[in-house]
Amino acid sequence: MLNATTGTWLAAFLTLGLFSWMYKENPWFRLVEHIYVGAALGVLASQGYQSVMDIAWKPATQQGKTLLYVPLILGALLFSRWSKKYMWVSRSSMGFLVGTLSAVVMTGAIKAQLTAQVAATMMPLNSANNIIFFVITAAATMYFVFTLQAKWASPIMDLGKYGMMIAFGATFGNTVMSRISLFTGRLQFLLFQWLKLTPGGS
Amino acid sequence: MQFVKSKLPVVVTFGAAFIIVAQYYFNIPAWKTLAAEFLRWNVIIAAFALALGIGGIVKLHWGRISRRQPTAVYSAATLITLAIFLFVGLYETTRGKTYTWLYDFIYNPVAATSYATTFFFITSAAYRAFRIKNSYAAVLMISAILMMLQVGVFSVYLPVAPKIAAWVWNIPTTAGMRAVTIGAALSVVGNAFRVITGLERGHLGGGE
Amino acid sequence: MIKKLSDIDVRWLYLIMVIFAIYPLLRPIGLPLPITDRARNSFAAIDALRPGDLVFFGIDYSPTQEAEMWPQTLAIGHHLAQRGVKMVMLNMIEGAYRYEERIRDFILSEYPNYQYGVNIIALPFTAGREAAFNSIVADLKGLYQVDLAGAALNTLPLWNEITGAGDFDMYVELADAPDWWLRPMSQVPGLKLWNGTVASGASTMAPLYQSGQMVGFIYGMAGAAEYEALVKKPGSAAAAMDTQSMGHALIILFVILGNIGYIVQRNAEAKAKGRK
Repeated sequence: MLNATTGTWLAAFLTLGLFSWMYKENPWFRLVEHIYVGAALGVLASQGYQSVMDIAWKPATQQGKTLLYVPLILGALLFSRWSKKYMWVSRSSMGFLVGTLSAVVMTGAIKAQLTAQVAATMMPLNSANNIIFFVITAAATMYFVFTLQAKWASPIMDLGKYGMMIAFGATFGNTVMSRISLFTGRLQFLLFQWLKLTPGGS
Repeated sequence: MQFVKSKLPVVVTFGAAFIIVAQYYFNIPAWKTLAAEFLRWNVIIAAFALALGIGGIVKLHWGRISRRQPTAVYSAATLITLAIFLFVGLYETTRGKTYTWLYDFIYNPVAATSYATTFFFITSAAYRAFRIKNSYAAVLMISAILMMLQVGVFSVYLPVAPKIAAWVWNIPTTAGMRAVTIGAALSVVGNAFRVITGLERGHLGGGE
Repeated sequence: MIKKLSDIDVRWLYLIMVIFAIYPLLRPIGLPLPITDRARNSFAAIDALRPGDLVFFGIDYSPTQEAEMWPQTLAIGHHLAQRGVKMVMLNMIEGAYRYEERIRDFILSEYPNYQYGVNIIALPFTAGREAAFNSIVADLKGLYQVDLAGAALNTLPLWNEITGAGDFDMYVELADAPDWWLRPMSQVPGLKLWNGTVASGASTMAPLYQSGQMVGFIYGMAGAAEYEALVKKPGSAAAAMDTQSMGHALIILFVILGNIGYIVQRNAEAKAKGRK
């Protein structure tokens, strides 16, 4: 029963259910929407379980890496968050998780995004493109980071805002491209995998 | 007990972060080994955290079912789907055939389609919300349209369009986004610093 | 009449969109696909790899972005396999493991010179994202004990050749999220970074490519279609480019229609106010 044919029909039922929202919200759409929540959470949890098994449980129990019992216990303590009374038990585990993550994000951002990006902006101003690039970066950074109130800074801030608008406009244009692609992907599934049509003929 | 409940988590946050950050300043092999071990622990604890959302969702939907609300049937669909994925994923592992079938024919289509429906939001936004109300909006729109002009049909009938679009992308867009990157990095560093030093404690949660 | 332009039921627009999206899929128009310099340079960066070079191949996207990312994965998988590099695949996103399985199986079936464990390995899902990448940088071999299929890694010859992240020549990341992989991986000395991503996230990565922190960068279905053309393996991205083209034309038309209606309405309102 759990073969590719029944699977493809089920997938088509679910796909069309979500697309039925296009006309108006309806029970079919709401059912599939709720199935998505359950499935997404189920995938998250089962993947997490698998990862714990692969990265910690098996090495700890089968290869004698006993130190890994520490994160296994800390991880299990996280579930105390499900109880208001015992939520405090999870705090140290959460503190460890967020503390280590904050440390790597902070050091990584300073090196890869702050220092490297500022350094790359220090370019020779020997071409129109380089000058435009430098001026927009500097003006937009000023607008983004500083809140200068001085009158003399107003044109710089304006230039920065225009620079940002160009960037956000391009991002919107690319988002359109993304969304059309995602829609096309589902159409390709419905037309070619489910209905088994062929391009150039049907 | 009060120390364990409120002070210890802040000490653990700072201590764990300090071990990671300090390895960049001191070339001590044992320290680096400890930092690597801490990172591995983070990965393991993060895997547990992936299942944390279950608690809230089960509570919410079970509540709807037990109160026999009109949406109870949908809540039942969520819980049944979750139970199936969990049971199969844990019993058969995520490498099993049944799990793969569930993934390919239930999770994959609903996840892909839920994002694909945003295409209609974008269509609606293009028509209803993308209005030239001032010069900033005009610049934003021109930039967006130029990006869209890069594809297929326009490169045939308007061959200059992709060239202009490439310039807009390479120079002003990249320059503008660099400012955003620098600003975002500063913000990330600032937030991380607040967490590490205990000024920000939201992640520790409430409760008793 | 013109006033009505700002008041069309959007469901008509959806219907027009659907028709114009389906038609070119069934009856391809074959519009040309210009190849950008960015795609050519990115292709050249992978083309410069020598047989036997060691490459990380990160598959970090979920089904939500499959339409854009899977064609990229196939095209780049072809190119890496054509170059004969040794590949270590990994995934850090919940749900990405299926694409890792699929590209592993695809390469093993299409390229007979690839033998699992000898010149290609697939690592299992790891949670923690940025911390997990940092863990790879700090101690790759300490982090992983089993592969994607659950087999012990120390039985695989390629794994036994590797000492750590520093052995790798390039990191090719196909991700639907922007920069959390780059911050850690850019800490590995001499490791070249290469990124394929979704179009909506591309502007975030553009400054990192311009600065030279990445040697390659493609995005979206258009990037995948260009890469398919460059590796001479036309696939689903190339087939969808006519629809992309139609979709963009219609969106531009809707923006113009909406604005004409808006301007007419605004002028009418201003006139009415003036009369009062």
